[in-house]
Amino acid sequence: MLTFLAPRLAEILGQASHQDLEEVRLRVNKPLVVKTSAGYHFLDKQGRRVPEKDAYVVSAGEIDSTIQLITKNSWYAWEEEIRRGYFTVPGGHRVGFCGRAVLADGKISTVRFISSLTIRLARSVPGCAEPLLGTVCRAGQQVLSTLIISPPGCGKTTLLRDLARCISEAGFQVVIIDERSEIAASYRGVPQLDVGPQTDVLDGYPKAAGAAVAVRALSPQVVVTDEIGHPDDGAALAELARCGVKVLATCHGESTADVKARRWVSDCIGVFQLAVILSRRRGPGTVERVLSLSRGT
Amino acid sequence: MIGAVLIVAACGLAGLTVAHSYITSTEVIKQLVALLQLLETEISYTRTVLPDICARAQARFPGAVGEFLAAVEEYGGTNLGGPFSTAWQAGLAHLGERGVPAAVLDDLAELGWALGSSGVEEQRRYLEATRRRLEEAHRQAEDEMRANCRLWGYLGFACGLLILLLIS
Repeated sequence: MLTFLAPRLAEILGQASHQDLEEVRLRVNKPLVVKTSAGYHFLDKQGRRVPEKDAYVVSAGEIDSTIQLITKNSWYAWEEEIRRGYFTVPGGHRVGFCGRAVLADGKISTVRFISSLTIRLARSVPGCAEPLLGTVCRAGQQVLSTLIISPPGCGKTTLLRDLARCISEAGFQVVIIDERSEIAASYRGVPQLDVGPQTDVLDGYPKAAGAAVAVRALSPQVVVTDEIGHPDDGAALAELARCGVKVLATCHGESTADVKARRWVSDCIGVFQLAVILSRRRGPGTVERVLSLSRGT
Repeated sequence: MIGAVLIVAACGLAGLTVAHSYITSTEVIKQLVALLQLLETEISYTRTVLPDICARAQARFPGAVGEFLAAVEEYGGTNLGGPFSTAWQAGLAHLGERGVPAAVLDDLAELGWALGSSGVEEQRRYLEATRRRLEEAHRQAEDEMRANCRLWGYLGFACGLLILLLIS
């Protein structure tokens, strides 16, 4: 991650001894801020935690320099990422940015005058899916289509990623339709997080298009996708199920009743055999319930 | 006798050198036009980043243009985080030493300020506009080459003979 920061910022963060660094926030003419498990902190030019008044102030030039390093001086090569509002860099880290939006036909065509960057460090939790593996993947022979449900920030994607890795390692051909590049965190097509040895990643593909490609060209046994919530997603997943492909997916919600209350779910709820409900009750990734859906619950 | 031959040869060689510079300059401008076409393709269709384009293109353009790209790549590599335009300008200094006309260097310098700093459509417009100006410069260079190459070739030897006549 340091190779993508302006040299002075890389030097400061290199000196900082934060093993559990989660975020770095850079804002023009504002103090340098980092987030760890203990919360947000200001850093001085030696990387030490200090009060705000003593913190190192990030300059506009350092923001520009960081963007030049991330984009390799080639703004045109990142148009899709610019419209989405974030870059993914090697290591799977995500760099969100704020600036002045330029609109065309009511949609964001580009962003100018970037004034802040939020760098979220990617972290996978290898092994977090192992307690569930025996339920999702019966005797290593059969995968059950599983829907992971939780409110935001409860570890759905982290769990999904590790499930994909475990199932791939168990010998199944896995395809990840990674519409928002959050599961595999691919950089220039190469997954930056471990998603298993027999996994193909369709990075940035909309789910419907990705499902069609997967079925026609990749012979998946299991398809993994994140954040289903669009009416077209249901039809895509139903098609996968008709082709005999198992599906692992996530969606926002508090419970299966909450999810079923949404109109689009009727298209695809029959696809899933298991529902896993997560919460943050004992930290992100707390498994509250595992429900069998094939009995109509 | 030997001296006479040396005088004529030296003057002739000088004339041929000037004539050859017209040929070289024309060839360099032609290669620059091809480079701009390559940039347009790489940026428009494959969205290749500029450092990768410069690295790959060097093998396709031996001579002055390849050296220009190598200088751009080298400067960019030692000034990480700096704008691409400064690396580009550093490369242009090499082209200037190889007899590229000042007007062509100015067009390329103007392009350098824009390269990499906007979206695909705008990049394409800048590249197309610069390519058209360079194509015009190439036509002019070809006309000058046709007009002056043979002239300087003969002029060199003629001067040598004239010097001999004056001496004797």
